[in-house]
Amino acid sequence: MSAPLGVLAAFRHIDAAAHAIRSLKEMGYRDFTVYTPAPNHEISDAVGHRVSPVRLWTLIGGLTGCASGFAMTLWMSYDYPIVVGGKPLGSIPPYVVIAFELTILLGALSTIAGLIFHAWRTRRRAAYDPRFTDDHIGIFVPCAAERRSAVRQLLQGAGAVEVRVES
Amino acid sequence: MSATGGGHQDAYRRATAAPAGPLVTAGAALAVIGLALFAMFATGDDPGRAWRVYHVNFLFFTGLSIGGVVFSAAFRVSKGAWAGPIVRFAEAGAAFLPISLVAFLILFLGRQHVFPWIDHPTPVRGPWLTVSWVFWRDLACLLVVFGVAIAYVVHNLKPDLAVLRDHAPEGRRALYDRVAAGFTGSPEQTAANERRLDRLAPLLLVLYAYLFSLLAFDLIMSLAPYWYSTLFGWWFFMGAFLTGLTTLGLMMVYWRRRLGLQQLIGRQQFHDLGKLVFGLSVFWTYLMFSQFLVQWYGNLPEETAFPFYRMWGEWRPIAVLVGLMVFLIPFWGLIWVKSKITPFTFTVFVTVSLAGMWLERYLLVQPSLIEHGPEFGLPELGITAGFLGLFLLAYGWFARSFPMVSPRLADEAGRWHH
Repeated sequence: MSAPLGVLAAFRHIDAAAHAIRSLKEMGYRDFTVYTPAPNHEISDAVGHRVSPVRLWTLIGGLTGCASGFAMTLWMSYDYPIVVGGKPLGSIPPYVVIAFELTILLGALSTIAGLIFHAWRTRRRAAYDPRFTDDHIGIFVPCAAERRSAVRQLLQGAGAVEVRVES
Repeated sequence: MSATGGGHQDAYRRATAAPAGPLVTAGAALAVIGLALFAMFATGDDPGRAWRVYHVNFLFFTGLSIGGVVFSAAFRVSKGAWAGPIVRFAEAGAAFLPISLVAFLILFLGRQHVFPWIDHPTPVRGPWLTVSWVFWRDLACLLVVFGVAIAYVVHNLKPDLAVLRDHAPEGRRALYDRVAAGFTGSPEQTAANERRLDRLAPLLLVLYAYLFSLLAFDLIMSLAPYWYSTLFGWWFFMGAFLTGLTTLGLMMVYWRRRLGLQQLIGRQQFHDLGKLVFGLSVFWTYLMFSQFLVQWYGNLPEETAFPFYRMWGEWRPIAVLVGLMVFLIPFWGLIWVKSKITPFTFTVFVTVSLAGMWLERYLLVQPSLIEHGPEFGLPELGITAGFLGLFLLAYGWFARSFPMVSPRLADEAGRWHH
């Protein structure tokens, strides 16, 4: 997968990277990619993503699990009736446990599915450097040749330790 | 990390002169009315009724004020930062603890009306349930937990008092000096103070869990002396912790506007506290259900009598209300981000949970002691108002005396989010 043309910058300091991100947004750039080796509030606040759509997957998965947990246990009890411990056939209290576990299971599985789906749908080609999983924060700005020097200047001014033009 | 750091010095200065007047006035009025009504009913025709609701309120308000201090300790132990600007609103409840101790001593006067095993001894529990043994050990429990809690709050206050002393109103400085007890904020003193806090916080958590379990067994479970549940202690002290959190939520909303702390207390604090209340509501339900399931399954009369008596018959409406107000309404209310970060909806759901927990304590105590269904009237209302008044009075005294925001803890939160 060959990266598109653009400018790749590496940062050592969080506040410098956050500053660069804010300046890029002020200049009107929206489609840049930020890499960070560890989750960080300051960076994610600067990027300012909307709330993740994955949580809807979690909710739907969880509710489906809960409903199917009760449906499965009740259906099985009446389909193959065995009286246990003198309790009614359809006894809700113990089925809560099954419903709860299925809530967690389907909730978790659909979260993973949602994560993969949205990551795949919004995937982007961008230049990369192995340092971004180690101790550097990276910003890749795709841009045409005539804008490169402006972007380069901005990133350097914000405190990038290295700026590279990808071509 | 001085009072001039972090850019919030005006807010910190305002927090040393918190306008506690309304709290103190309302608290004093309610306390006077409530105490008068309590004295009237306790010496009237049906003193038992007054003492029963006195006991409910003693449990509820003790749990709510110690719960706040325990939250502060848990926050420290878990090395949190987000609650820095609001943690003092929770600690302020510590001012009620001495009153709670006195309330426990007064309970001794009404012991005949509250503890059924005094008039009808329970041989199956052996010498465990005798007046002197129960009251002495519970008094010792309260003294130990309250002592550690107050020591923790004082040590958490000291650095702030040293920093804010010269910004505080003239009249408060003498008290600052007395509580700071020579603490001037030198690096050695600060380090020693932090070390002591690091020992006091986990100590308080362990003592609280252990000794409040014992209090739950002695002061609630013993009211139905033939029933037992090993999970009951947990349920009681985690419920009290939840009331501490919801009270903190209300106080956060109350002070935010009055102290002009909109810069310091924002979306982050509402969101995180909302998540905690949500989580604790679920945990409360989890504990309740995990005990209920076993007792329902075993179906032994000595185990099921307690929960079934409350779930069917005259007490059912209260039980349904408790389930709705402590679990279902806060669950569906606080599951949304929007409702957590909007002060209005946050306040509504937190209030519902707090009121639900009062009903829960009522439901734990009352059915064990009376033959008929729930009773609500002037005695219940008046005595509850009296306790609320005493709590507000103590809380207002704290706000009137000490800084309501800790610059060093608030700055810590700021470092993480700006």
